[in-house]
Amino acid sequence: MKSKVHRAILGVVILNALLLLTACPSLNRNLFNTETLAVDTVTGATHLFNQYEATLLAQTNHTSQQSAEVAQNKTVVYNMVRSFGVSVKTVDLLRLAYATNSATSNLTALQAGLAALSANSSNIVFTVQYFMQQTK
Amino acid sequence: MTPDQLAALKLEVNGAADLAGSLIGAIDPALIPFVLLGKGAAALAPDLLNDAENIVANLKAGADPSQSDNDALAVKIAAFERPETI
Repeated sequence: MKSKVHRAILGVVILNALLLLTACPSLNRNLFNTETLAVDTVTGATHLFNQYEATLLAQTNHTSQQSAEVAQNKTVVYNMVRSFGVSVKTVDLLRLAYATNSATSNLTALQAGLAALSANSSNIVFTVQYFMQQTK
Repeated sequence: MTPDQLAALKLEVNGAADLAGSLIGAIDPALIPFVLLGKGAAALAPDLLNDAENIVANLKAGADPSQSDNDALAVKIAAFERPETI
């Protein structure tokens, strides 16, 4: 009887371990999707700004003041994008470390990094929109 | 988790529930702690099974990112070093 009890206990323990193990990949996927969303958002905003700059400078009637403003705004946007690139690379390394060994990775830093990425991507979109409205 | 693994998991859960049912009928006082444990396992079994099935459904909806997924993301991230090319 005792061996059956031990088997029951072992069964429950194994079940919990299996559930924990199988939970890891879906979290990795969620992290990946969130990171991809932030990356795609910033890529879209950067592309939009580049198109905007090219369109404005292609117009023959643009003023020198507009050119100067766009050049200044471009420096700001590009600096933000490069800074975002460094941050997202760090978060990506943390995610890959988590995917390799979830036990030793810093999940708190990873979650905080992802939250920061999300906020930064929104800020970049807002900045691009703001500059586009200012330079007319 | 593959369908075979899920089937094995279901067998484990059902086995634990069956065993718990037989333990509840035991009358030896020395076994009471184990009987209580068995009752707990029987109560937990349906929840564990639901969890396992939910996890499998989630995995089907979004599997772990593949190496090519990771590589594609790395290329997008690398592009931020030269924003003028985006």
